[in-house]
Amino acid sequence: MEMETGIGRPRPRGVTDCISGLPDDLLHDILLRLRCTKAAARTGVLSRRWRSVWTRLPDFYLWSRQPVLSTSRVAIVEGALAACSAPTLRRLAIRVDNVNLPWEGVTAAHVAPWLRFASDRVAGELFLWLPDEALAGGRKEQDLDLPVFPAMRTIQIRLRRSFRLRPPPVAGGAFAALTCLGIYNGEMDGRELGSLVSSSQCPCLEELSLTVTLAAASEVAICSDSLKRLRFHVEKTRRLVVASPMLLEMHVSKAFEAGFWDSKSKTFRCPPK
Amino acid sequence: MEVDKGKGEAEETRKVAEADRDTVTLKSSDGKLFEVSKEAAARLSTVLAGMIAGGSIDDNGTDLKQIGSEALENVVDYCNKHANSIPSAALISSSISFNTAPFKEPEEWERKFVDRLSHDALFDLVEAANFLGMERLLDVTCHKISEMMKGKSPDQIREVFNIKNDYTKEELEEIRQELAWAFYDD
Repeated sequence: MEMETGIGRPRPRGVTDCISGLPDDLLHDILLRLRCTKAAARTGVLSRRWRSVWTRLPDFYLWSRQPVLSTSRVAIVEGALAACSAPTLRRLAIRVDNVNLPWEGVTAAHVAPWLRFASDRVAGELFLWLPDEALAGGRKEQDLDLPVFPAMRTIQIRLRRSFRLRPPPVAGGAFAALTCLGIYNGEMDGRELGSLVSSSQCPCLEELSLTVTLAAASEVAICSDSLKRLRFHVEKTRRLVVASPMLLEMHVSKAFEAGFWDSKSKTFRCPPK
Repeated sequence: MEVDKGKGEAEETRKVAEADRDTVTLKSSDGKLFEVSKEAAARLSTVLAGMIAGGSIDDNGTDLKQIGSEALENVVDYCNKHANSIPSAALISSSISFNTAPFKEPEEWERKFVDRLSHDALFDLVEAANFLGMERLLDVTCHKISEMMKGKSPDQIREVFNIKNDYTKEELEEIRQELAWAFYDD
């Protein structure tokens, strides 16, 4: 009897479907290793058993590496997110490279719903990698609203250079779980940037990497009780002030003046050269 | 007092001897016995670790009624090979970055280990690894199965795994349309 139900039960060799009978979590373990949600989604046509297995995967990897029509790149992301039926994802990775991509390819209007999806449905890691065009000259600036991410631990986003990232209004718990944040390319307001990454919005932030341009030359003040590592390459920074008692490592460039706010002496101190 | 003390010591010695055995014996559903390194079994299988810690290991063969002898032989073989292998640097590092999924790549010997398995043996091993809570073996076997799917069309995948297409023509048409985005070339 046990042999009939257990693992290793006899089955006609070579003609049996060994895979469709596996439980969903094992099929997920297998499909996740394709590291490509598009390939996983194609298994939906195999048979009825497979129709919705991929839609409940906990990690979504949406890449598009080869030169294809730009409209289909957006369609891949939109199609996959629309079909996703997992209540919560651990990981969402979207990468759209810039091979043959016309400027109109991916706009802030395309990206905003992806971020809102991540805000609602992802508790863990968000990677969003957009094309890195060399110059944004003459491009029309586009506002991109950053939603709140109360359950996200890691956010790494590379924007298009003409996107201006607008953080949500200061509110408790907006980034309550965030420990690692990277923002690359794109524009931000100096005051909004400082406020976004400080403890009031990001109470657990430990690693911060910024390679953005300020909309206008200004000061950036970061006040964090948790920050350990900072990479700050923000163009048009007049002065960077960091008040962060936990800080272990700091790399700064493109800031006219940078230093620490010493809360004891209430003075601004530049690091020794 | 004297007698009690002696008895206690004998009990203690027996326990030590049991704990000192560096293998455990596992019994498959069809009654075959297999010896496996206790250290490796406890390290690689959460279920076996629990049984060892909880003292529910039987010297005459711990019953694993869910697992047939062929699958259990592969499990034991894997554990014993693992006990003798030195993990590479790649195995130890587990940093998560944008381009890497949070899975550890199989070692060379692990690839060879699953490559030599028949189709049926591979799937039995996946289920056994799952049943025994063997995360690493599950990694290796699932990786192998995913490799068998990579770069293949749905027709080719059906052929590899003997999957019967039970959609009607109309249903298939409908789902192909739903998933049109997943069939864009890239």
